Amino acid sequence: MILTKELKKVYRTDEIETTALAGVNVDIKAGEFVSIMGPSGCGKSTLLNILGLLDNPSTGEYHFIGNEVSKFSERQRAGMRKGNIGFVFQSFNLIDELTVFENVELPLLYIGVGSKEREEKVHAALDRVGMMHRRKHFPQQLSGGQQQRVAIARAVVASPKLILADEPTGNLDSAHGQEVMKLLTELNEGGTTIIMVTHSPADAEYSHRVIHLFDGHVVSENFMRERYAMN
Amino acid sequence: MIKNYIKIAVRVLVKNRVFSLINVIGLAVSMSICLLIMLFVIDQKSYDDFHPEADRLYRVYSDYKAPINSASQLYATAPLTLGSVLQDEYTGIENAVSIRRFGGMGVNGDIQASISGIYVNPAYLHVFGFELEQGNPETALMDPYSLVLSREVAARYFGEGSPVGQTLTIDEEAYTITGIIGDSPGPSNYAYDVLGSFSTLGTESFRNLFADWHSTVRNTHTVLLLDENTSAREIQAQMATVIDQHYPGNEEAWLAGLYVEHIGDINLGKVMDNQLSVPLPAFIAYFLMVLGGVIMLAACFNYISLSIARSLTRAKEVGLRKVTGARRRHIVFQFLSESILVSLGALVLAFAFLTWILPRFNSLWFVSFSETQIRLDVFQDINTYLIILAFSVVIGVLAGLYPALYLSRFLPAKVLKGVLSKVGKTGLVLRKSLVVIQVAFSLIFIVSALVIYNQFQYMINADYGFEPTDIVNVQLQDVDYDVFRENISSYPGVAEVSAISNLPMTASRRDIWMRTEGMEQPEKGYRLSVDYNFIDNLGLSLLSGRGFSPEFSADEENSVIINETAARQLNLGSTRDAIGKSLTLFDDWQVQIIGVVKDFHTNEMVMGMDAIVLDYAPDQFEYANVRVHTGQLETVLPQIEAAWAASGSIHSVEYEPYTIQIHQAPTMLIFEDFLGIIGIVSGIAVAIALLGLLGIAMFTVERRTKEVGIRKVLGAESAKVILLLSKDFLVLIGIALIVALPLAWLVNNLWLQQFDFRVALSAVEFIIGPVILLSLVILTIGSQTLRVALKDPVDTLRYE
Repeated sequence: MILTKELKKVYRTDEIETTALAGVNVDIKAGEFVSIMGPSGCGKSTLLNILGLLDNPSTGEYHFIGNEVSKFSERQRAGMRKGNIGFVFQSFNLIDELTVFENVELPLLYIGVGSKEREEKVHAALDRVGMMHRRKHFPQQLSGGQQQRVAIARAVVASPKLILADEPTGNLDSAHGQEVMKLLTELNEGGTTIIMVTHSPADAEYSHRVIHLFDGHVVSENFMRERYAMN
Repeated sequence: MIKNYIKIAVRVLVKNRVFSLINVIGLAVSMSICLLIMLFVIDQKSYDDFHPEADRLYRVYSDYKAPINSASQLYATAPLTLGSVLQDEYTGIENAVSIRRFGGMGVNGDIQASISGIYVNPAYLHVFGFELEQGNPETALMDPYSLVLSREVAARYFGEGSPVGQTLTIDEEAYTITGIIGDSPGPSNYAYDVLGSFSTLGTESFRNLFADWHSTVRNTHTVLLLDENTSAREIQAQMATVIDQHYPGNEEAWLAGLYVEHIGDINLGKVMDNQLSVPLPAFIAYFLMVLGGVIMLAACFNYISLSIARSLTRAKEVGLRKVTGARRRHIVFQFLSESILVSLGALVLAFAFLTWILPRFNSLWFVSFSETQIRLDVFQDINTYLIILAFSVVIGVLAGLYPALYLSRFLPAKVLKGVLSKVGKTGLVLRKSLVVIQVAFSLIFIVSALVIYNQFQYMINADYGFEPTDIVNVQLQDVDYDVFRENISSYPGVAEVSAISNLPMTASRRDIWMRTEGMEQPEKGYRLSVDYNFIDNLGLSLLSGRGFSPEFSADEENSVIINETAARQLNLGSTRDAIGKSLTLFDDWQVQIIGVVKDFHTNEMVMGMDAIVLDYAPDQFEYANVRVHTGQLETVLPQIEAAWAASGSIHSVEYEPYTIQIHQAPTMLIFEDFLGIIGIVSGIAVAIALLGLLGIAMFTVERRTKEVGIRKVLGAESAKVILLLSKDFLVLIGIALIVALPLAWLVNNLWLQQFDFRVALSAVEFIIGPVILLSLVILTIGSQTLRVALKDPVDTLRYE
């Protein structure tokens, strides 16, 4: 599903050149649950942004579902993201002015799903994360854990093939964190590929495979659970 | 999707009430001005659109050359016979209406009242689709001395009963009432409530009118109803031939051109003389549109700069939407829907402002004088609403487009990671430029308003070269001047009385042509006929020679007094040399100069001094100038009425203090309108700029609250904090001053140049203007910076 070859990302300002990724090769199959770990500044989020088609690499190849997308324009990337990729952020990133229902509905609106079908899908997604009873609330009226569950519902509502999660439990206490991880595991078991950036070894336990990054390089890969062998 | 856009737009607007309010109020005020101008234009353009064949109705106007206008001069008139000539001898014209104004004293038994109307041929009713309530439209305007009146005018002379068949005498000619005309179905330049038959002009009393086209070219109006398949261009093509064959010129006067113009183009059209009504020229609409456009732009600038200032808080949302699948156009539409919503909200408020400002506009002198008040009928037309709605949407797009494009550019990877810690450079530069532009415009407006006010005061209070204070002018009407003088002089409050034909400084002038022996071309001057007392009574200063006196019998026939300008124009040498010299006035009126007076103003202080010729001619007297002893005005006014009553007039007394008459001369009134318009627009421009500054100051303070807290904890004093927060603004205001002051000087100098008598631009306006603006700006920004500067740092830090 995802294949990168010598992926590099260099940030330039007037004086400094920072290499965030220095030739990363990853190969992630459909249905995998992969964690990316590493110290701050090692390039985790940069990699996730590139994999999520939010950013382009400076050089290297990136094949996403069989397409070479590393040179795509923002417009093409937006088209490719649509319906294919769901995002979950550490800071939840819900839109404050929209209710829970409306937040989850957003991706469907942009795909152009009809209103009746939209309602069904949103309800199904909210049911799945146990937030149906809060669908008319605004984000500020929810706890952090609840907000993250809504964010997950939003990520899955359009049934994407890939979910990218950037420290999804980073802002949550451990009880709520576990809830979120269980949800992600369930989604993965339902066939969704998940790539997660995390600092938490406990969270990484939930995944099949952990990729360790250091200074923009992949330094090791660990297979965590036997479930990977089943896929 | 649209529903979603609107939903979030409403929530965002409600959440950011203050910013929304600033935008809505600014847009609403300027929109109300634009609406007013739009209604004015819509109304003006709806004139004469109700006639059954309105699209085929064209008027003919002329370019007529005569010694008095060697340059091209357009008249809204044409030779009297043109209508019948075109209809009889040329193709493409279904019907032609000929129109000529008339007026006089209408008498029916004891009832006397002045009456004015138009002579029209029978085609008038049919072509314009006007209907008679009584009388036969086919014949009512056929015979000479036929008269059709409106019910209202008829009632004035004949009471309530039917006047048809009765006689009304106008200036001693007997007219028969042949019909009653109904109300005009719509606004029209051609609807009159007194219609005389055009054939009257062919009778003995008007002999020569049909034969000598030169005498009718400047006072007869022609409207053509073209054949259905004929274009105006085809008619126009025939006009050169028409002139050649029917209106040959002579050396002094000739028709340089006849032009057809659709009657819908009369209002807000070309400037020309001798119009039938008083249509406003197009430049007035353009002038108003420019002013409206400037303040509308200012309000849009507020929207743009506030949106960019707040873009940081919206960036995350933009990023998220993009991450969840939004394309750039989705974001653009979303922000546009917000701005359009604000604009529509502003439209509602704009109507409230409109109800306040519309009556004020309608009471402006130029509007009421030309009878072009905006009629509320325009609101009965659905198109008016559609135009207004479309306008509002356009404004929404205008205000919102740049912010929408700017905000939709944000890349999700950056904004979601918080990389975008400050507004982009272009946004910042633009925002600051907009502030500078707004403040600069406000300053130009303030300074201009002050200069206009000064010029107005100067014109009102200037030394005119005569002394109008304490003079009450009484219109003589049918009273003999000597009789009135006799009656009024006996009252103790009256100091002196004189007589004159037309009043200087009130836009009433009579041309005269004067030349000395040996001059090739006569010089143009203006004639004032006065009595023996006039020079003393009005306080003119006699430079040489003498005034008119009963002791010299020649004064009644061929003595004149001229002013310095006339002496100069006629090359008479010194004022002393001029005495005794001979002049020819008009063609062959030989006169001798007996005195030269110092120049005095006659033409409302716009252009230079006129050449004036004073003569003694009692039959020309129109006004008695009653000079009262200072402070006795209130006592003398009833005495004037008593003296008038004793003079045996059939009219009621008409008098007015001279200073008021000068104040009410057209130029002064137009100037006052102009002052009022610029005053209001300046006020609005300043208010909008201040609203914008307030919004940005609020935003700045909000963003820097934490910083202020930290600085205060570290020992910064409140004054330092205020300076810190205001510094950026003060720099911008400084730039605006530097840009605006030279521009203000340039603009004001430019228009003042049009006045031969003008105030000098002084440093005062250029100091007072900035001081006023700066005080307002400091108050505005200070209200915000002070708030945060005085806060306890504990609160500000906790707030963060």
